[in-house]
Amino acid sequence: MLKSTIIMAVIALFLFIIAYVKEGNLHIEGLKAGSQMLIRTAPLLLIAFVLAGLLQVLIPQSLIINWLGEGAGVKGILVSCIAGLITPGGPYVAFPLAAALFKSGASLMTIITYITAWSVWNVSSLSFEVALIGPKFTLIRLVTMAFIPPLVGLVMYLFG
Amino acid sequence: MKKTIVGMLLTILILIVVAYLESPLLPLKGFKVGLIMTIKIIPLLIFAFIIAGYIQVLIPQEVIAKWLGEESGFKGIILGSIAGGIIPGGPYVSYPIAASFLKAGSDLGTVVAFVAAKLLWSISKLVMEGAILGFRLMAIRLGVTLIFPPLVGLLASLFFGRFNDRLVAREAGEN
Repeated sequence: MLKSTIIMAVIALFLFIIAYVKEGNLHIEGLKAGSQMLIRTAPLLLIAFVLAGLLQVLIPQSLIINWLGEGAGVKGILVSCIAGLITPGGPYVAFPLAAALFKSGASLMTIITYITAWSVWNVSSLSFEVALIGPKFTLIRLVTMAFIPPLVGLVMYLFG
Repeated sequence: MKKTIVGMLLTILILIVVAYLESPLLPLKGFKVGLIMTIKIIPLLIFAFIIAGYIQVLIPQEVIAKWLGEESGFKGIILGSIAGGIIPGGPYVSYPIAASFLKAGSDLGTVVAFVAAKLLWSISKLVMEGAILGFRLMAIRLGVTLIFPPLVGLLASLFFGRFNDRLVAREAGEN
């Protein structure tokens, strides 16, 4: 965790310098944009982490290990695909949930399959896509991407 | 966003009741676990959001959007994938751009690759994924899915591109 924080701080500093060297007030604008995003998503993140915490104490660890753990195999792929499909909301909901599951004994394979399934099939993002681009495009996009989450699970299962 | 928050609060309420019925102290324990996770991740998230903010101001959307219209065929698919990966902002920013390029006659494959890359490669999402789930997991996830945006762009133009990209564009124009 400390190492990740240091890496992120270095990247942030690096981007600050780039923005500072560029003309205009980009170094201030970037900080402003970032803090606005943080303030807007902070309540959602807090709620998501509380939800993840409650789930973590409620769902018995043995259940998660059985369905999503190292030994879950193909069953784990199926369960994580379904979980990704039904998880509503953006990254600030899915990532804390995935982190809680990972901590409770889910395997790397199932978490990666879950994140992939959520990315490709996410219900909230789908409604945006239908409204803003069109239902036919969304259907074509879904059909061409439908195979990805199970395939990713299988690849992780065989080589992970 | 508001709907998501309300839905999650309701879920939390139900979970509190369920946990309370199991053991009266369990809801408190859940809150504690959640709060500890939040507090631990706050420094990391602050930097993650600063990075996301700089990505937003340093990468001009108009310049990336132009790539979508410039090339067709395989080159267009590759450019569309890269554009989808680096374009900042949520779906309400990138999807109208995708719709306008479909309407303007860009290849279906290019636009599908763009949306697929937005879903799988998005830099701003990767920053959050690394912060919350760890960089190792994020890197493996990215590595395993790296090939897909160009691949599905190719699939879309092979199977759907030749007979109805105009229909798709007209559908998009209705909104």
